[in-house]
Amino acid sequence: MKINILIAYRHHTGRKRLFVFSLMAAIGLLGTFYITLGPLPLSILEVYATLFNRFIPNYFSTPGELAARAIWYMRLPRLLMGLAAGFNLGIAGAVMQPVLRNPLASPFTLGISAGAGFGAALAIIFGKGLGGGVFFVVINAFAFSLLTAILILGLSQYKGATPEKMVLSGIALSYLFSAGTTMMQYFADSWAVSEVVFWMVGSLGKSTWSSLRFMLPVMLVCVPYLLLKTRDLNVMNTGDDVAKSLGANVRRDRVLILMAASLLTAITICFTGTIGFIGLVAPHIARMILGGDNRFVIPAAGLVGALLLNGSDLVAMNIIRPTIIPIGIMTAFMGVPLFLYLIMNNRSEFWR
Amino acid sequence: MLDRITFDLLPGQILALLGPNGAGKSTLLKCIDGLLRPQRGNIELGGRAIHDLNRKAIARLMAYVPQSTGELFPFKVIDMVLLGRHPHRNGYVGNKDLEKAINALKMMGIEDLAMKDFGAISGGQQQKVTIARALAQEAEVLLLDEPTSNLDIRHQLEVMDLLKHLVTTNTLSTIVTMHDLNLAARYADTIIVLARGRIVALGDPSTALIPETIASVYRVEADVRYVQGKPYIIPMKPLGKRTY
Repeated sequence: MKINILIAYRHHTGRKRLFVFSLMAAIGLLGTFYITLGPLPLSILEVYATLFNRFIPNYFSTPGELAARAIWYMRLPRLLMGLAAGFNLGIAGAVMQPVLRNPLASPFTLGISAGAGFGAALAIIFGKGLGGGVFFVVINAFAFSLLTAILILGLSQYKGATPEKMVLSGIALSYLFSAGTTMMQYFADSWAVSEVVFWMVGSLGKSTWSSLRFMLPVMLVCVPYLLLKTRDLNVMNTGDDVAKSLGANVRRDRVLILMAASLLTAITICFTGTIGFIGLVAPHIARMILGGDNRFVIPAAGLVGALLLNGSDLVAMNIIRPTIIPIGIMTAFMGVPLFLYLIMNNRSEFWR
Repeated sequence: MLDRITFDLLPGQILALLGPNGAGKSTLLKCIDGLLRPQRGNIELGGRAIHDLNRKAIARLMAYVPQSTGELFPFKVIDMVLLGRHPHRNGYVGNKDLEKAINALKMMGIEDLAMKDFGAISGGQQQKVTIARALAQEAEVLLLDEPTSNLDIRHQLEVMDLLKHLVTTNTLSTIVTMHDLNLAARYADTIIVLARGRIVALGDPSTALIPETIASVYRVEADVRYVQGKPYIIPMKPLGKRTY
């Protein structure tokens, strides 16, 4: 009997591991395909020759400077930005839900997206804010998105707020910042209003290597930290008292995990605008397939997020060419039917 | 809420905490596990004040079984029991942890549930799984908050029998809060009766559960008979002013 359970358990975790690896493979496949598509008509061979030409120029020849620029400065950063954004939002949502003990929690639950929108609107409409230069709007959005999270986390730290109170104050702050944004739009010139709307709807159009350079260090700190905390998140699944009695430092962990998730979200949406939905849905899709074990759900949610975002972007760029549908809209169009289908047809592992 | 509570806990024994709703049974249990901090005073375990220890160290000494375990997201039974190994490890789930979890399931006689969804099994089975988790924790002290309150009579007897067996064979010290006086009288070695945060009676079942105590604490007139050498309490009628 003992041997049987051992084998069954190893089999069970092995299957989950396999699923995570197949997600990685799927992303690799999607990426290799994604890079070959774009407004500039290039054959698959030309695309890869151009890519390799950059590293080993003696063996591969590029069809021209234009192709090299399109691939290296447009397609590749866009692809990587999409993957990183989907991954970050998926992971952030996957940790927010157990930490806030709420299946409706998402990376935006602590008011981050409304804060980012407010910061961006402030910068676009009044030209006021922190920093300057090319990243003026980005820095402002980043600062204001973290402001809401810091407010709520500070409140919880000093007043000992429960997860329920944190969720409610997050919603309240979201309304406050949205109201602020709307007021600014109400008094602003029409060009500025549409600029703000364009910013908030979420797009990958402004992806550059330098934005990725800002994202990478934050990801390198936050993602490994959150992956290390998956076991503590499992313990938290049993409720605060039991988690404490099992040796988890619930209060400290909750604040630190929320901080890491908020940072990850803020650094993502300040470059892309608010891409909703991914952060809510990717964790649930991962859980429907894997069950509740956060050791697998958290990396899987990130990968599902990346896959969903990139798949959506692929469709968004090609469905009514040459117009590109904003990614924030496309993820909802693509993700909602998939999500509804999964909810309606899943009986085995879905949370009860 | 709790006031001047002092008692000793002996290994290999079951101590039952009784008292009406709101008497402070669960609060006391949480204070002992360090989940709540007493305003004054200490809880000592083997001469060490538990508030000087970190959470993991406390978790290696004491295991807590709540009234009911909810889960937000679905876990397998084996995963639930493996959580009991949390205070003992920092890395991955090793074969040693897995073996200890399986052993704990075996001790509770539920190894066939290992790969089932925790949310899909019955309340009685869930209670056993939570106790198995506490056993996997390998603590010296077991704290159980009303382990029988949601169970049918067969599961009540099963869980208490198992507990008695585990406590004596593994010389664990155990504190159990209960509402069922007869179940307590039958299985506990020592009984503490709490009322309004204070100890009203302390001793073996036959000295703690006398009609006078029951009358003053629960305001119920009771007849105490002896069955197989243990007191058996038959509640007769509520005392004093009618509340309906």
